[in-house]
Amino acid sequence: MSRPFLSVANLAVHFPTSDGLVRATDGLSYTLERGKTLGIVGESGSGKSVSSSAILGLHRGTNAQVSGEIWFDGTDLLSLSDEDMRRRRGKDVAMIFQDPLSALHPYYRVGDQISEAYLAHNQVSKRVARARTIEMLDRVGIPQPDRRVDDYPHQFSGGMRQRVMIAMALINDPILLIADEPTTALDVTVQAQILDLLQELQREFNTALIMITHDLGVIAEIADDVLVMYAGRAVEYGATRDLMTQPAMPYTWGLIQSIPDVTRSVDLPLRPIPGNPPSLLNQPPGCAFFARCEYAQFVPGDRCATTLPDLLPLSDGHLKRCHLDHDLASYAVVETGAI
Amino acid sequence: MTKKLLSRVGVVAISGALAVALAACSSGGTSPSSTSSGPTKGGTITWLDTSGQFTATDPVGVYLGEEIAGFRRLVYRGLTALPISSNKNPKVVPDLATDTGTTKDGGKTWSYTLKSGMKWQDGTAITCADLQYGLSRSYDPSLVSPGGGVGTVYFGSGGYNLIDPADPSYDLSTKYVGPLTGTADAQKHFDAAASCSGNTITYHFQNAWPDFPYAAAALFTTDPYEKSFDKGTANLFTINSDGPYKLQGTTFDSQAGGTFVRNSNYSPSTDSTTVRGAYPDTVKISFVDSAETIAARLIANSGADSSAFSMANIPSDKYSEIASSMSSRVVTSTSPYTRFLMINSNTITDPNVRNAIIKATDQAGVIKANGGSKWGTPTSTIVAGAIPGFQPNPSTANNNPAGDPAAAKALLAKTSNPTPTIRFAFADTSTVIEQVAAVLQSGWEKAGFKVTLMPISKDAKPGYYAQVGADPKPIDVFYSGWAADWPSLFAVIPPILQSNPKGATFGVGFNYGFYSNSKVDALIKQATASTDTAEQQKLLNQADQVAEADGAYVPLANQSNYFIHGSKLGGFLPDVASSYYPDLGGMYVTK
Amino acid sequence: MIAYAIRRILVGIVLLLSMVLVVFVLFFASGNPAKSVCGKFCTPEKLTQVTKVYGYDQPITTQFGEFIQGLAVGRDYPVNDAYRAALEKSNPDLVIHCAAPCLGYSQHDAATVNADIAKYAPVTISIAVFAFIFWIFFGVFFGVLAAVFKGKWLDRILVGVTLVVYALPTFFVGTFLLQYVAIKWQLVPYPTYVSIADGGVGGWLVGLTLPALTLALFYMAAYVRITRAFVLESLSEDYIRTARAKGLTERVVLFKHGLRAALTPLLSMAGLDFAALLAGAVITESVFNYQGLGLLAVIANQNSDLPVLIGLVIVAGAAVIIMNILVDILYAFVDPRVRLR
Repeated sequence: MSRPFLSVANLAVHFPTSDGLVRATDGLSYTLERGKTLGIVGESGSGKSVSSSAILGLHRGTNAQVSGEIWFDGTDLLSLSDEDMRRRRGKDVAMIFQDPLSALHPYYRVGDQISEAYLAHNQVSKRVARARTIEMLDRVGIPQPDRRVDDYPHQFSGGMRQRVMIAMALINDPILLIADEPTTALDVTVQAQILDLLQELQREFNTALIMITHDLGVIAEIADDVLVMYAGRAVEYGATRDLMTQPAMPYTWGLIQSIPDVTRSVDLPLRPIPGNPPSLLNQPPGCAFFARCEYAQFVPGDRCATTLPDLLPLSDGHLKRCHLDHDLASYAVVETGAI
Repeated sequence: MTKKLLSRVGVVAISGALAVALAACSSGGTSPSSTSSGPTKGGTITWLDTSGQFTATDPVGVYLGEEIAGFRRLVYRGLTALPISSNKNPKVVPDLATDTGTTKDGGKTWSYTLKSGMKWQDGTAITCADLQYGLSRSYDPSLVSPGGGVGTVYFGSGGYNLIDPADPSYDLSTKYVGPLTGTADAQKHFDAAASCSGNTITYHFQNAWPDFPYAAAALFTTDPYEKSFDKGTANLFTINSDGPYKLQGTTFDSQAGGTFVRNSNYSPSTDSTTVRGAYPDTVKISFVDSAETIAARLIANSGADSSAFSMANIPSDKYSEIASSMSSRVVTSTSPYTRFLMINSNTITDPNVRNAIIKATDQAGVIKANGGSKWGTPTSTIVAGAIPGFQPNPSTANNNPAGDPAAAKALLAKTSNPTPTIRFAFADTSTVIEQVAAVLQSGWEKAGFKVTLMPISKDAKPGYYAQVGADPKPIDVFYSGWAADWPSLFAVIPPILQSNPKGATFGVGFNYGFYSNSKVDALIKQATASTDTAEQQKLLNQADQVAEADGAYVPLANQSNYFIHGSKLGGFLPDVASSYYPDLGGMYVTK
Repeated sequence: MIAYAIRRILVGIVLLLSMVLVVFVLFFASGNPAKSVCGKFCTPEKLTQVTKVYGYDQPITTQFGEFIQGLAVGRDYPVNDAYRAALEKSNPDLVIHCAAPCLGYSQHDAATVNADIAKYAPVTISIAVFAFIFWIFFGVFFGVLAAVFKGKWLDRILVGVTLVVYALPTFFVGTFLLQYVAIKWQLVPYPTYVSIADGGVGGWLVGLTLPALTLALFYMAAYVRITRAFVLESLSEDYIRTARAKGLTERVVLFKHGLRAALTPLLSMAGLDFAALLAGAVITESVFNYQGLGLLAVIANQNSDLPVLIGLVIVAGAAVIIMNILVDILYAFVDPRVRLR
């Protein structure tokens, strides 16, 4: 049996600070095949971006401690030398960042910034790279790409800037694309355009896509699998369909309930999750979500407070990290009427 | 203004450990310190000095003791000169003139005849008209400012008063403004006052000027000036030489210095090696930032600095660096400078209070704060020990140098207010002067005075002397000093103690204390009228005694010189001719 | 951009004239300045004469007006009309013409202020340029080094040393270099300014070493810390992560993407610091007795030389204003987001 195209196993990213060790990501495992999309959801600081950056090796050269395995296309990325990792970065694995205004260098023309990515991995002349850049800008739907190629980032609108970022990420035909909240800063119509574009390009290049977002609506639209993260760990993982129809733990319920939905009755209020995520520093024993969990009362004893639940299979390919039993979980979903 | 004084203040700045062990520092006394066989020609002598001191090199603007001393030997010859000599009472000798001057009427008219064969650096012969022209420039206020204008005072109606003998009432000092802008009528009167006949010039004074030959040697006022060279105020830093050297280039740089090379039109046969040895081929004046740097370079004695000297004293914070191995390069001597405090007689009108201030003053403490005996010794008068006719002032000679608070208290008890407040002003240029002020304050307070210190900063507008020279002023006592313009009591007593004219708002001469005593004035007048030197000295010393019995000033110290020079410099001698600065005339570079 | 520059220059001129007016008023605030130049034997008659010759008898407004006129069309000296008329009649070649822009005439230096400044400026400019090159080069170099090795021993040494150097007063550094390095240990020749014309580029550089070093050390220390902060800030920006994610080498990331953004703010800072130096490094020039504009200012102040002081105020002000405009224009070139309006 061959390995999956992308297989993250027991990934941990820790940052030593003067206050102690910050466990940004711990024990994270998932797999992804080519042409498929994995959605990673969670609140800010849940470890979504940190764990994905680890795939690109962006923590190298910092004081971060990365452990575990990241098998990608037959190679453990974590065992590569810095130089070998650099060669793959931007070529086989590319990343689209949120907030393209700050992610693009303000002093360089967008064309130069894009072709720079091409030139870093291809032995071609600047002219060739420029032609390729214009082609990519055209491909991501920027009008008059031969003119706009010489513009600066601040001369673009938010949506156009994100298209520039996508062009930059896709210029080397990566086989894995990580999109970190690519639509957060955009208005809804533009958001839809960008998502359509991403899916279209994914089909074209048969790219594996990791979509990082805090928006389950986006996940529902494009992801094949979903990974829900909380406080640096996976709390639920499964096929999108399973997870959306049968969410298995209180945090996922909360996420689902907080999706604004045009079909929902205006009288039924949105139900945001009360409280704030815990500090990743000096995490308490027990379930990280315990302090905010309305269902802890249904768990006998003080297990939620003292014991970290394991990520256990609920059905085939659907895992959850929760002490609640399955029946009660189903009940809760029916009651809230989500989806 | 009062550049002689200010320069001095700059030189003695900075404090430090005072009673440093100086036993090792031997003194060259007043004899040449070099041990080599004798003067040799050639080489370069470097004259180090602190920048910004020379406010002019135009003879009419020069009024800095060391500058007069140096330029007299290099570029500016006078009618007369004082010889290079360790004698404390040297005789004036002829320079440009054939003799030291003749007078038939006890000093009211003086005649000088020029030697022949003397030329300016451009080859033109020096004439009697040049002598007239040189003196006439002293009357132009645009030329003498800001250098000094010493000439206008001694030659003016307040001094000996140069007059047209045909019209003695015509006041040249107010009506004549020099050759450039003076009216034809005024010029005519001037030409008659300093009249030429062939190569002989005759000066006509209203008041007898018995020691005029000494003044002619010590001041540049009667020096010749070549009319064709005159470019007015633009000449401030030019030098047209008639001496053995000439300035390289057209202007002297007041901040960097200048180089002097041999003047081919100078005729040594018209001069004497007792006045100008003219040994080195080149004399370089080089300005640096401070007396500390000068001392450090002379101590280091490297390269060109080994044939260097300075007119600046070793500052007290460098005393400890003078090693015994440098004894042959270190010279101590007396100095024509005295330090004293002036008392504002217009605010402290009661002689008892003035005398109480004098009695309570801690002279010894002031000297200690300044660096000890290398800096100065206690004195009882404003007259320096180096001046012929000097004698301790009987009115203060027996005072305790450390102050006598009890005696001061006794004097104050006779007054209406035994604890008067006095405001003491000083130019706040260094920490030393602040310490001195503190010493003075504590001495006075012991006698019951209440003391308000009034430091006047270096950058104050108006400057220190402009503030203390004015009247009225909110100042009772202020720090001061004096050096005679030529070695005579006449250059000390009258300028400081003669009454100011009625209604003056600024001190005339140096009477900034506005001391006024008709007895003193009468004695000075008597001395001026006298023709006998001993008689003059007696009368002037009497004037000093009377004034001081009245509490005119607070004597502090007669300053000392403490020099170091390079090891290859010979003929180093501070003498009377150079106001006890090292005499450049005898210096040479040893082989 | 040209309209922008012109408008800025016009505002600058108004600013300069206001500064001159303030200096005028301050100068005359303490009474008749002729007192300070009247000399040792100042009599009321002489004071009156001097006051007249210097033109101090005129109302300040008149003097100011004449000064402005001189700036525009030049002036003749001496300023006293009667005195000058007499001189024109008897010795016309002694009337000094000061061509526009006439900054004035210094009786004390017997030269026009323009000539004074022309004489002193080369020293200041030489020191400033030498020091500037030195401090920018080493300041930025060590600053980048410290940022790249942040937290390592090299960074700690650099930060520590620069803190000490920064805290040392210029006066102390200059005196130490002069008294010990030059005089006592004689590691370098005694520093004297030699113009390129006199000593060639080599002599010029040797003469400038110590004063320029004195001046540069302080700024260098500051710039190490500033550069380090800017580089660290820049390296934490999102676009640096983007650059890394593109697979660029660390060198390209640091030098092309990191430094470009870090050094741009340094540009305006360096421009203004340099402009300030053009007004003269007062302490450094005084310690080494280098005849620069700073020393000229000290001398002029001590001598109550109003024309020179005003000339220096104008030169210093103009340097800052022009440098400001230059920096703004340059900034528009290096930062595409900036548009001059």
